[in-house]
Amino acid sequence: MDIIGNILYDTIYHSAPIILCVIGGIFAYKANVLNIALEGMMLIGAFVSTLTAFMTQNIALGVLLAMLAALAFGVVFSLMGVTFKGNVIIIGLAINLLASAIAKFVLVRMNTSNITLSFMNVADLKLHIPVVENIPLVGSILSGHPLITYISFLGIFFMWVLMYKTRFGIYVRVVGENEDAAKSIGLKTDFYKYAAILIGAVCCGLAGANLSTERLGLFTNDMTAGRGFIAIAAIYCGQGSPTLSAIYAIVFGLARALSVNLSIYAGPAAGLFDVIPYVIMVCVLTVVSVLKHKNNKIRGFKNE
Amino acid sequence: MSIIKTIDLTKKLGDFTANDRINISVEKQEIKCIVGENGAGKSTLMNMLYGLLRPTSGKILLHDKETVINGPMDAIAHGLGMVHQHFKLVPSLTVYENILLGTELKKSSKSPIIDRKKEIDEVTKLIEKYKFELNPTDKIEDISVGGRQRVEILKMLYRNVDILILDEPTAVLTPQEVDELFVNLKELRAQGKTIIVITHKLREVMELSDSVTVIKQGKVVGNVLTKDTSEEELAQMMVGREVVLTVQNTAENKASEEIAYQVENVCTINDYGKEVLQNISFCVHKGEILGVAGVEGNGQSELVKVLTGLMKTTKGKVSIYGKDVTDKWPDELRQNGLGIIPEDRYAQGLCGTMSIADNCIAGYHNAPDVCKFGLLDRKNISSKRDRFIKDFDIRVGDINGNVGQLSGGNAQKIIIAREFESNPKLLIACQPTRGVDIGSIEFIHKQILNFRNKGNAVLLISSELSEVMSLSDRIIVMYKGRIIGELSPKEVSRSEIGLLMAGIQNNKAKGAFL
Amino acid sequence: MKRLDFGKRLVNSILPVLLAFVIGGIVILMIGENPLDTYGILLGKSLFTVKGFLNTLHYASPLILTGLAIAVTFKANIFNMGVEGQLLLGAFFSGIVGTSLPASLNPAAAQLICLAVGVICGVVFALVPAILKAYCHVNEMVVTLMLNYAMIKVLEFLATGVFRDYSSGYVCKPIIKENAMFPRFGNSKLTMFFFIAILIFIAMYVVINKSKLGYEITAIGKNPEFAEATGMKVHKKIMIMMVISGALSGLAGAGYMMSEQFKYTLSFSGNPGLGWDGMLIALLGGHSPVGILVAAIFYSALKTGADHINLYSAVPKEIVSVIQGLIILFLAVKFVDEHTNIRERLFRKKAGKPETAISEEA
Repeated sequence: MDIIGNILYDTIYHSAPIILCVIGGIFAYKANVLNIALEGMMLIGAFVSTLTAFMTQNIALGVLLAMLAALAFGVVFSLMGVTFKGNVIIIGLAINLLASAIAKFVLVRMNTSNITLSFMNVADLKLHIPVVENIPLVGSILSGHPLITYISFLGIFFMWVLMYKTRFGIYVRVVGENEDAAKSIGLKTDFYKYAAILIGAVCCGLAGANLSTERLGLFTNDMTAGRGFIAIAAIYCGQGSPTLSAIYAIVFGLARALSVNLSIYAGPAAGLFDVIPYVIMVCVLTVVSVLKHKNNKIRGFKNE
Repeated sequence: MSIIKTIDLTKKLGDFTANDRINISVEKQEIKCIVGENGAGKSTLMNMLYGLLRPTSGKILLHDKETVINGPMDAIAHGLGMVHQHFKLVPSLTVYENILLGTELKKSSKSPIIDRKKEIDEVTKLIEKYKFELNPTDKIEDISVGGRQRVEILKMLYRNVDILILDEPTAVLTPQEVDELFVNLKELRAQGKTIIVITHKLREVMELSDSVTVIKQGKVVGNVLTKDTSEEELAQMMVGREVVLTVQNTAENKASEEIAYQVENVCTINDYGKEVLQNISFCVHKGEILGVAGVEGNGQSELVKVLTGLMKTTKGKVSIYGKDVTDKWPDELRQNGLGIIPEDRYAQGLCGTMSIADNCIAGYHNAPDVCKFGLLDRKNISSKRDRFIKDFDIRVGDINGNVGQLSGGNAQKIIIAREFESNPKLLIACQPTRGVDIGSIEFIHKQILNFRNKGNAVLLISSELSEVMSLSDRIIVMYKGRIIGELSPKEVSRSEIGLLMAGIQNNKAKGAFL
Repeated sequence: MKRLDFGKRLVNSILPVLLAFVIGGIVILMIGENPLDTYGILLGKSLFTVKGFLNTLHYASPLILTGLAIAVTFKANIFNMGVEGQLLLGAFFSGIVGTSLPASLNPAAAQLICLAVGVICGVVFALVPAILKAYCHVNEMVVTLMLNYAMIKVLEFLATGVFRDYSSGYVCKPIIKENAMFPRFGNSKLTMFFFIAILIFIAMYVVINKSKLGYEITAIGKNPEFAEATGMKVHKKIMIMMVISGALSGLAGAGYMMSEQFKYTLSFSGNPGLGWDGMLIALLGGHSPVGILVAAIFYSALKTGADHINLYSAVPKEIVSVIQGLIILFLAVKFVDEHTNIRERLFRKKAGKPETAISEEA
């Protein structure tokens, strides 16, 4: 009983940063910009939030600066990719490498291998929802998460509204689907691409802050460990739908929760359980792709 | 009083004068057709009116006032709307969303949320006002091409334009859809709109318009009232000489009994699992050209893809001279004596960003004369390219340049040179003269006939009915993924084929007109 | 025309490098050091002394291979991001074989076996995304990235558990036998491995520039539909490209193991890793083999120079990673191309009308 509760709690816990990346990343996906810099944006968010909190002892400021730092990366990405029409895949990779390099550079300058926030206790950041908390099992699963985790789940609904119920969402999709149509009604297509990328950046910054400062009070380099790419995989599988893509993000959270909780029983093989989430994601991608191409009789490949 | 008028409108694109001192004038509430051959400069003119191109010199007068139009939005603000040949619609959005795109209605002026119900009501009213047939909540990707065109027209009407420009509106429509469009356009005229239609189909001009302007090589060569003219007269003005199709299939039908190409019960499906080819069966004899007619989008593309190895069948059998080649890959098909002139030159036939020489061997790059032990013989490839250029009179600017720099006709000639080089026994030619200048059309038609006269078989797929009719020995007509009739071009009229193209198998049925 | 193109390509490669160095210089200034001195140390010792240059060539060897491994797929618009994982797997198992071979075995045979094991591992691991892409249309980029993470975890598990050398103070695998090591030439670090890399370079030069396969790779990259329609069987070519890519990666890993590291540690490939360096090199070299050779040597000079920075100045050598990221970032943008330059692109919107909409008649 306990273990199931733990797994479910951890599922929510581990899903949160990926959900944030996903619901931010879908806008760029819908605007037809392949943003593989989610990983780097998340990492820089994680780094800046912890660094700021470490220096100012102000967590809120840390989260804010994390979003701004990610936003700055987003601006670089859009400037190079949209305005200068560079190759977005290469730009994305560069940003991922750059985020890691900057963090490493600063860590070495600080003469440390990781930043630990000793002034605070992460348990204090966990919010307990008054009524829900007391419901058996459900309470222990749904309650007791940090703020950004709640934001991420509420964000799914918010982004759904933004995507399907507002002009902005429609225009982003128009820009992605038929740029000519967008131009014919006078839309500034670059503006919507910028906006789509920047929304993703801010969400990634938030995800990074959640990952490092809020959940662990700790930053180690490359701690994002491919979550940005998992988010991309989830977006692909969910084809940019906020709800569907978020579900794939939760699948990863579940895989991660399983690997964490089951590894206790695995003894020396525990290390291998870390592989599960990645392998599951590859399997999910494969299944989705096979289903999608089930009826495909056309031979060959398209340039993506 | 003319509602729109141009004075000495000129557009130069580099050294090329696309429009040379054009003077036209359109009266209020008339349907004006602007006709001319491909490349005559019609689209350039319309793009200037619509603000997509800036005139090099000359003036545009709207309501007798000189107006500078700075782009499509500005044009619409001046009451001028355009329906392009390629629709500017978003497939995953609904009809009403597309019509209101850019002018969405919100719940209240402060709310960011879009009011779906109000939008649907608004569009329903619009559809009823102009008596169009559309369901506002259908998605664009689910409706017919004709429906999409109606959405485009409504999109303009919703923005209160009183002048509507349509660029080649009938190119992608079935004959019934053309009829419906004409009814719609006439209704719009009755309601006070002015309509300009760009076309090169003279039948449609005669049926639809009030007056006609003929453009040839960037100049206005005629301005007439429709009731005072005839199709023949317009055609003469357009081409500047008596129009007879220069190449005619005059040879007696020498087709032998021997079957060169046999297609039996071929079926295939699209991504959504819908059957887009249903039991296609036909054969081509040696020394015969079999034409495939039909309105575009009735399965011809898929048929060509299946027959050229780009798409798999779900059922059926294809054989070349008795050898089963069902679902073989393109290279295996070529080895079995098939030459391919593909539908979309720059998608399947050529690679625009590769050199002419590289394109001259594509598809035959395994041949022993260009490839030895896996290495390419550059010298042989260059000499092959030079021979093609000489034998097929291909005009190239830079012999080491990319194929993308060539004109449509010259690019097509590279494909033809390449495919004929290996002496195929069977040719599949799809839209062989699309976007090709008149001189090259003649050349290509002659090449195809010569090929047939040597005792080879040809499958010709074209949406230009006159091309199919003048070249083919036999014609099959495709409709909704099926073959719905076979006829001999010498024994039937255009309108009879037209009925079949519209899916009407009963010869007495009325209504379809091409 | 040709010369102009070459000049433009050169500008497109050199300008990003200069820009990155300028920004890196600003960072160095900000931490209170002299950028010119730092860059002097960075490049001076590694390029302008004989021993330093030979060492640079030594470290360039795996980079040439990973650069080629990336280029052969990227040129076809297939994004094999798994070079790093393929390299690590190849290195790991060539190391295992290297430790367990009998010490009496002929060195040439031992070395050949180790290299072969590396190649095989690289190929096998590259086949997974290759098959998924070729036969199931699964996006190869995401898959290879995922599998990289998975592979790193697996190797971590193997290195910390099954194959751990407990006599060592930190996590590593035992050292390979001496007969599996490439002997050094003179007092530099240069070994046979460099010449193997050069041989592979020549072979790949022929493949990419002269062969039918190279022609097909180019065509697939430029227009996959055209490639398919002209009978190139793109799915099979994807398999071949991925196999080549995996083989080169595995070879790079095995060679690096046998010429430099001699044992597998958790930081075997360094940071950001030889596979990622290969990506920079492929981009810097414009996916052309000669360009890759030059870029690999240049980048290797940076890397060896970075160690000197640590020794002779107060700047952390991680500045090189920052510069590397910046180079890739700027490489993504073509500063000049055949038709436009960056200025035109910036101001086109204001100056001209959307001429793209010109009718097809022109």
